[in-house]
Amino acid sequence: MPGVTPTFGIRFPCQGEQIECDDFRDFAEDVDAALADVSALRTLALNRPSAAVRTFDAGMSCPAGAATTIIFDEVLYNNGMFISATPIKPAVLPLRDGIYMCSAEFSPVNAVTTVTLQSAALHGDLGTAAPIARRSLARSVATTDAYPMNVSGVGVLGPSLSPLSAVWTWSGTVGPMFVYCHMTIAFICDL
Amino acid sequence: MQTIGTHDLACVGEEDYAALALYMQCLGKDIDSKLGAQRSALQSFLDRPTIIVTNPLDTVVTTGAPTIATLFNTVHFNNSTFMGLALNSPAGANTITIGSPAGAAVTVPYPRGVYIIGGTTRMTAVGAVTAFSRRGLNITVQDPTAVVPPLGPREAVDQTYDPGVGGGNIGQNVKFEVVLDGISGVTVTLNSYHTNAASNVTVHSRPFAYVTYVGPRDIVEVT
Repeated sequence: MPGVTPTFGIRFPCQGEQIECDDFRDFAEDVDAALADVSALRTLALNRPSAAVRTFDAGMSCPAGAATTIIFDEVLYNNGMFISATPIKPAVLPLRDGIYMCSAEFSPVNAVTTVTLQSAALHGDLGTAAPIARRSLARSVATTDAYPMNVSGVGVLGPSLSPLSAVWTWSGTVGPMFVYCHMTIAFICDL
Repeated sequence: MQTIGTHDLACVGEEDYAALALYMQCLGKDIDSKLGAQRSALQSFLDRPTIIVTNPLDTVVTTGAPTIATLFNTVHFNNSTFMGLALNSPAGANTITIGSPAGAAVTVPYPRGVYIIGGTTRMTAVGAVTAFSRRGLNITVQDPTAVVPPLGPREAVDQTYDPGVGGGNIGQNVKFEVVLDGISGVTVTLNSYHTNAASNVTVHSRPFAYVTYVGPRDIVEVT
């Protein structure tokens, strides 16, 4: 009956037992498994999951009065996230459940007839309608240009939870408004 | 038995072959202990202390008391041992605490260094909208045991406006960094307010506020 170590369960023969080749094999396999366990953490520490995506410079077409989920066109970098293949990239899904720092920069690139209200948001948490972050800007004088906006927040995201997406909403007339978006996500900690 | 390498692992000598079982036991436990320490250190590095607070319900902020500090009343996530949510402390406010309560004996010191603090809320007028009235989220950090003047802002506000064009859902979003240089007693107060005179304002369910520890702002190496 072999003994085992307390943390990794490395098996070893007890005194008085006959030592066989299997004992050496079990010992080596358990040490190997313990090393692999620590190595996986080391790899995660050295390569914290993160990603960044963006639209084309021309931006995405967003009609007035509707919440529009941004479709991204380009993956700037991707370490540990699932992002749909070209051309539809509406969301970034972390491959590890956890807490993530998320941010997005929205930049309207064209003039419309009038803008009265604009809102930028990041969505994801637990599939609820509540956003990770949302910010609104209102205009008290007649204008044709919307302002760039930045939003950021902490999201609970992952394969068994929700992906991260960016949403733009504006009120006004005519349009569409074309909105450039650059979204980033970075791992903070496990759940 | 002798020790070898930088981790002083046991190595059997010619005279020890009769004690192979004992050797494997010692070696196994030694590897277990040293790898366990490395795993613990890595896990601590990866699990950056973070608290997220929320409120599962809509909250009405009246015109008579247009500022509230009790919006956030539920812990959504907390992997730290030194942060928490104190309800009605001080009276009339729910605060995120870092370290032991202010003024109390220091039983839970906090790690000095850089913290990221932020939050988001959404507000909609219950009835009529006073055009371009304000909707705000104000986050204030107090570090009463700091021994040096604070670096960077201790307060951040996002103030937005409702133009009254319909729909409401006016969002506020705050994020900033602070350096905490004390020992204990830090409070993070989150105030939601509006200036809508025409009707009460609802703060929608699931607002989020968070504090996450980034790490020390300087590393002292002892050689």
